Amino acid sequence: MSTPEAPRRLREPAHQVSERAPAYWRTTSAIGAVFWLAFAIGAAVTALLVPSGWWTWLIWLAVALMVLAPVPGLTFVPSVRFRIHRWEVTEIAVHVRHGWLTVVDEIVPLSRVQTVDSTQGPLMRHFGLRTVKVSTASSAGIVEISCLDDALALEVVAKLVAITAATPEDAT
Amino acid sequence: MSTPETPPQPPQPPQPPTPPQPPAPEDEWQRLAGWTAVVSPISTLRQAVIPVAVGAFGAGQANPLIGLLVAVGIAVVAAVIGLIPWLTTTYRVTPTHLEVRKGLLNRTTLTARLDRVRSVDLNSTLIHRALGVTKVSVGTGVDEGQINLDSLTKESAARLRRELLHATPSPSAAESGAAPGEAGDEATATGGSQVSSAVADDGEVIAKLDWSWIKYAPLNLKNLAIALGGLAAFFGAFSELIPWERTIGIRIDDGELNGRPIESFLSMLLIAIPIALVVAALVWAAGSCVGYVVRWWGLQVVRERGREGTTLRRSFGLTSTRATTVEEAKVRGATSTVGPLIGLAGGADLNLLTTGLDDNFPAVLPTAPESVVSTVGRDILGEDAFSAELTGHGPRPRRRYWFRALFGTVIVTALALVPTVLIGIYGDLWLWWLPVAALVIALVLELLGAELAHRHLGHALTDRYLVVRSGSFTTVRTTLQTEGIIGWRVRQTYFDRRLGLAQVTAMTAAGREYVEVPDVPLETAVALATAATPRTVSEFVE
Repeated sequence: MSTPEAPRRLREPAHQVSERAPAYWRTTSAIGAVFWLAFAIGAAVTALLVPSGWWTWLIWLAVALMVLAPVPGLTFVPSVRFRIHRWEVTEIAVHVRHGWLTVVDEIVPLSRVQTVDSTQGPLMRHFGLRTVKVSTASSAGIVEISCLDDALALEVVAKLVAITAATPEDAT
Repeated sequence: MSTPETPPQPPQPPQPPTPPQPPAPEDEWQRLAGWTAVVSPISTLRQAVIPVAVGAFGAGQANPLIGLLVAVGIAVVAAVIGLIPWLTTTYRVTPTHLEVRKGLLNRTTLTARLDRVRSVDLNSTLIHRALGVTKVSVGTGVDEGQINLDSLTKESAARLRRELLHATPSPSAAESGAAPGEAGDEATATGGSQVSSAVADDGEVIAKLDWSWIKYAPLNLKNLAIALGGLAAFFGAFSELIPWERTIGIRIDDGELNGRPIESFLSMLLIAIPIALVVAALVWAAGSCVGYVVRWWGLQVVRERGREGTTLRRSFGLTSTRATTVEEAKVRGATSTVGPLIGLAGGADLNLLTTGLDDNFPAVLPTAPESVVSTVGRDILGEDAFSAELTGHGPRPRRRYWFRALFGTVIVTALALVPTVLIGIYGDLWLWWLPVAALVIALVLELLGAELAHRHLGHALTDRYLVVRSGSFTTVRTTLQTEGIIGWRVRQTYFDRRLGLAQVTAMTAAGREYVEVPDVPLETAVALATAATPRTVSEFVE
């Protein structure tokens, strides 16, 4: 069915997320890193206290993994994600791209949108960020535009509500 | 939360949330069937039977009389609680709305616009049928759940169904038992008209149970797994209560079985195991056939003219009956599944993708010959989408599947090596054939699975449907109206990007709420999404 000049891929959505998003992601990683470190210390103490045996190297391996686990999230992942994360809202549809190892594109026509809402956790509030959530009649059809500037996010919500209200359809 | 303007008013029926109700004398509020007073205490008691038993047993250990009193007390409480629905629930159908009032302390009024009613489900257990009543579930929105009325008499249930889906309310529609000749194989032992057999005057039977299909019942591996799981759970729960020593007479101690060395039993096992397997197979064959008869007895699928468009009604069941009616416009597609053994016997399963039902992936038929499935599927889908020519996904998924198969084989063989090496070192007995057998079996099965998965992979776009086929030993062919697609998700893992593949999900409100197109080349995926829903996708492609 692919015609000769068939489209080859989805283009990048027009807008990037907030410039403060990487800092926010890095902070959440740092909070996670604290827990990882706590576990690592616990494991290291265990390794030192219990009599050594064939399992000792396994514990040290686990310690190393727990120390290394948060490193990507603290270093390059936020900037990679920032380059990939994009969003666009047109009169017809919303298109979101996110992820880093696995990249996900989501497109939902506004005529099928059932609810639009926005969320902001305490840490997001500190960074002035807000996530817009668009849901449809499908439980698989929930699309998030994460980490927008607070004011912009509210604008987007207002725009989405206005457009979806103007397209009275059954949404299923 | 609670504002002073809206204080809780326990017993009064609340008026404010209901829309303006024109005072129409014929729209009287109606009660549930009188037998509800019997049915719902029984179902309440059934839920309460274990707490009652435990409580009575606990108390009865101190004093049998107290135990009895506790049991009776709990039973009475359950019965009284069960009476509440009958006392408090009323319903009526106005020209525009279905209204249900229920609740004792928190009176609630459920209102559903008649043009939003999508399905009516009549469900009767054995108890319901003995009393001539049925449970009615009305499906309206998508995820808003259903409005349940448990129970109505069969006549009023049939009338309600008609009023909701088929006609403007009229008293003449009440004569539902007028055509008892239809579906004569329905057991009407309970007297009263069978709701499931009261066929509308313009009903068109599009499928009917054929008893030759019963040959597929023993081949259903899913049911076999469920049965084995149930059996295992049963023995797990009661194994301590079964006196193994006395019933079978097995005593194992000190390497001896009933006083004889265990080795002497091994040759007996060689005979006993095949016999046990044959017996188990026979028991399974008989049991699955009985289960099939009880479940699917009198199945028929009927198309009727509804308020707007046509409706489909599926009714079946021997002991407990079920009659589900759904607006055909809410059927968004269908799935045909061919399981491994059933496929060899030429059978397939047909499920619909609907919205507004309790189970939005209902089986239209039991496992039936593929020709029947495709005929009925074509009839319901309105076009021959199931036999649409499919486009394969090219050599890239095949490479992936073969790689995975080889990788899986290596893992299995490595796992099989572990006991061999351990036994070899500590027991000085080299079971060399174990990893070899594992290697051969795993290689054959994995490669066969990979090749089948590759061959089955495909998609197509017909006039109105997206058609997707996937699966290795079990083939699943899904058709979904492009109209019913409410979004797309295109996922690429790191490995997907290297191979240029994508995992595509079509979001929908129907069925399982998504349809996956796995391992499709990215450019094909984008072309497919654009062709299926051009308005939505075309502005995002390049």
